[in-house]
Amino acid sequence: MLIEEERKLEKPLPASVRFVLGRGKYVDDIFFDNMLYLKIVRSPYARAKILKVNGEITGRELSASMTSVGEGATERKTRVNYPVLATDYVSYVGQPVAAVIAEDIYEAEDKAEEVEIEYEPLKPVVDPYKAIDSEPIHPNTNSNVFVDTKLGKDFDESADVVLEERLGCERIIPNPLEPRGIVAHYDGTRLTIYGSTQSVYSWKEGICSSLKLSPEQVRVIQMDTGGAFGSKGGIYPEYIVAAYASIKTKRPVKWIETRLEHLQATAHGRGAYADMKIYARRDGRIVGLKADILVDSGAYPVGVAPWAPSWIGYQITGPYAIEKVYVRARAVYTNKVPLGPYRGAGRPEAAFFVERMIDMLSDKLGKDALEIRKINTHEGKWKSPLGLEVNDARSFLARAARQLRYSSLKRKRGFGLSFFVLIPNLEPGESARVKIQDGIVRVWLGGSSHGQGHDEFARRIVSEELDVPMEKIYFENSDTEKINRGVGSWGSRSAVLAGAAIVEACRKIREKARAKLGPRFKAEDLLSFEFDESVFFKPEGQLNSLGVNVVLATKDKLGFGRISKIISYYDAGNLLNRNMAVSQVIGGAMQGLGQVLSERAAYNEDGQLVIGSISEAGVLKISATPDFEVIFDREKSRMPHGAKGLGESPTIGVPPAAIRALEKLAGKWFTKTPLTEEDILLNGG
Amino acid sequence: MYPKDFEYHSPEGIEEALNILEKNGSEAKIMGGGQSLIPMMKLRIVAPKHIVDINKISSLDFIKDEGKRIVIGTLTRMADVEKYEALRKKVRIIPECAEQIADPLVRNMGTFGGNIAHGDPNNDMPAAVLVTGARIVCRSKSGAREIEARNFFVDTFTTALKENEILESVVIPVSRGYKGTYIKMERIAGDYGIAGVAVWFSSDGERFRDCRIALTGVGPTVIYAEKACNYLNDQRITREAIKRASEVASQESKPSDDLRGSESFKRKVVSLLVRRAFEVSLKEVGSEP
Ligand SMILES: Cc1cc2nc3c(=O)[nH]c(=O)nc-3n(C[C@H](O)[C@H](O)[C@H](O)COP(=O)(O)OP(=O)(O)OC[C@H]3O[C@@H](n4cnc5c(N)ncnc54)[C@H](O)[C@@H]3O)c2cc1C
Repeated sequence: MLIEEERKLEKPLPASVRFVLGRGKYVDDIFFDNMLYLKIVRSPYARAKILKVNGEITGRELSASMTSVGEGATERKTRVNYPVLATDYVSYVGQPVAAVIAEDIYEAEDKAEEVEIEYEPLKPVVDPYKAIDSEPIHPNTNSNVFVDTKLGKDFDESADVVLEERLGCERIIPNPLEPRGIVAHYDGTRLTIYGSTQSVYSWKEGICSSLKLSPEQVRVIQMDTGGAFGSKGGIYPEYIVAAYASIKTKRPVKWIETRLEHLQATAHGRGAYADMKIYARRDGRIVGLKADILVDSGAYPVGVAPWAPSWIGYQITGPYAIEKVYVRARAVYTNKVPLGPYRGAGRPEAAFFVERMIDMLSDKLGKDALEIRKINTHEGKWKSPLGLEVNDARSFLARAARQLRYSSLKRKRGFGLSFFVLIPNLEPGESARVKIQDGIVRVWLGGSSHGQGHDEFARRIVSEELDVPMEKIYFENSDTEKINRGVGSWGSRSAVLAGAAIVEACRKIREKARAKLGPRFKAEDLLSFEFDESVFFKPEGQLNSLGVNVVLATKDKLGFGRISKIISYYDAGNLLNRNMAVSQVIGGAMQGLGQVLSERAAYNEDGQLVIGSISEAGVLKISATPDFEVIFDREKSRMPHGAKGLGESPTIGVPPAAIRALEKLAGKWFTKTPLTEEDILLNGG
Repeated sequence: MYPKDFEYHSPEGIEEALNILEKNGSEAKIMGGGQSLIPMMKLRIVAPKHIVDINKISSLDFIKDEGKRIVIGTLTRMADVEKYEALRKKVRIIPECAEQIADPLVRNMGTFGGNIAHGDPNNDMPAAVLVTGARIVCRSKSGAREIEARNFFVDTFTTALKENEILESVVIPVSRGYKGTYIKMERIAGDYGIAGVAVWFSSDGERFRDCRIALTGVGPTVIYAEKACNYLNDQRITREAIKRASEVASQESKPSDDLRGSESFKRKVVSLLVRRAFEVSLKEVGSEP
């Protein structure tokens, strides 16, 4: 929300209260008198040659390419060009091919129907495993495999037990309640962008790079953002088209995604598979692990796919001390929308793979779920052969077991346990700005909320550090004009990094105030002067934290397995706001449950997405909520405010524990998410 | 997600509505709660030139308890059907079905008649009205006619309603001594079911009499499981008889593979639901098999 408006309300309201009062201001709430509406014309085919395009804006006119920005962006050049508007061929259903603009959205929709495009459909490549040896979907490449990396050293091992399994997490559609959206406003010299985003900086970088604009020409402002889950951190063709259309017409241009467009054309998450092989001793100790990871990249390398395979590989050992690790990590092109980050972005996939193997091993050896995990942990500092740091896993697990009353819980039949590591995405740091003027404090962060409530921790830290009452502190959404440099909010990073940056900015203000006002100044004194400090906080080293989930399942009246309870025991460091932390855990747990029970971006063999609504996409509703218990292990971190990451923990920990609880009831192994209803119909009904 | 141009009519009486239908034929569509029609218009699956919004015709919004029958006006919201006491007491399957439809938001808007007139095989209410032996009252300018619910559902999105007719009300007979219920199995709560089952029957305490079973979501229209009913009539009330009937009903279903499950799985669900529906209904009267 814009500060001018908020000041009119006198007291700054927490974002959550503003939203409940209907005072949120989202990108679709922006109206300019002379605004135009953009509609994108999309490919109905998964793979086809374009024979002819006749439309208002086409790739002939707007011949620009997409760049990789945001979470997991790669600088690696690939030979595959992702055009803003396709010209020669299309590679996924929903790919932008042309665009129309009109005075209202209804007219735009009608005009879009008149755009003439002729296609020559080709046989699409849909299955990621088949993609490996299929004809390349891009003409200037010789294989669909565009990442093929090895991590660690290959090894030979003759262990007591060797267990092999192919595991997978199918693609998921992010489905935030607010779909994507942008308003681009070019006034003849400068382009101002209002967006529903996780990062104003990636948008700015992406738009400047595609349209060859200089940074001074572009300002990006984040509006209230109604969810993202990773899908709004990067840049998409529609944004470039909107910016282009505004420059061309010198009028504001609005594009708001419909739900159907969201299903088809917003980057999907997960989509990772692995051939896992573990070597273990009879007592359950794992002596070696091999993983052959395959990521279903979709059609273009702009999302996380170039980075995801080795990122999953890097953390494939989870919190366990496994001495020998060898990973092959590949990504393949398929005729689907490009893959993007999705809450956890690689971490849930890695945890799913290793936890599934451990549970299966425990069945094979008749070992208890906690015992087999304990024997594979290390006390003190542990660094995996691939570089992952895990500290005091053994004592954490023991504390968790005590707190969760493990010995009584494990007697239940439908019982699943998971143990995982959360790696917050700290690179390259994050910024904050704290400004005192006119008797109030304003704070900006490099990455703002898309539903997590960044304002809560930001205002609280400012209040504590400056000893200023909360009602004098205003939080504003990110704006490239307000802080020069910043990153974005993803990867469980904001509370840790932006929080630390706020602490440092406040401390700088205190220092300057001391110089000006003497050592013992009061809040009123501080507020009657002007201060303005921006800090880019760069962390050093890793800051990984641990978590445990227990999930319980029971059989319902018709004979289906149902999740009844989710218990979380997470190391969240110094909790900045307990309510917000609990909400993060519960929301994330539901998302994790959705991955196991129903969420899936299902395509048929023609590469058509067979999901037509948010409901069909499998998003769980409130009535599916089990009971929750959330317990925090509050070991302070070395950050100045003691925070650790948290936001992604439940999407990492819940799926393996939930699938295990159902598996125990079903009496058969489950190897991929989501399960079908058929899978959880117990003993044939 | 934005409909094509259409002309909007908002008649205040049924005559006026019928005139508009008469004049515009297949280009006109009635709008009740709009909960099925509007999504289809937004996706441009349908693009009627004339929308006849009947929400102002208050004479179509009623539930009348006439003792031996209960008449429900087409505009009655599902949420009101759910809460109507006399229905709970006399034909409980109807409110029990209503409360399983979608979510409260949809039920506050969606109408009783709309759920039936739509002819969607995944809609729940057709099965429930069918087993009660209801009659559908359709009115055109030339008068009203009544159609047996069993003859009303012709094909997917096709009913016996003519272009110039309004579904005016549904007449539900109150049959003393009949028991039954509607059960559906959902993949996601508040969604259309994987399958749904309505059972309605009478008994002399020992044997089943006049059994009626209808199936939702497992064929091109709601399916009346005639063979299963025939099998069960005059059978002794036993677990085995119910199980057998559930298998016959499952064979009578015609499901297809889709997101909600495979054909064989849906057949399994039908038989589970039939069994459960009988068990629940019998428990009510204390004559557990
Ligand atoms: C999210 C969601 C979930 C849903 N889940 C379910 C579910 O689980 N089970 C279920 O049964 N339904 C479900 N529905 C559908 C819902 O119950 C609809 O309300 C119902 O199908 C149609 O009722 P309506 O009054 O909204 O009809 P409308 O949408 O207004 O009309 C539907 C059709 O019936 C015709 N029509 C309506 N009234 C008349 C009349 N009096 N005479 C002649 N023709 C008429 C219209 O012309 C149109 O063709 C769901 C809908 C939504 C949006």
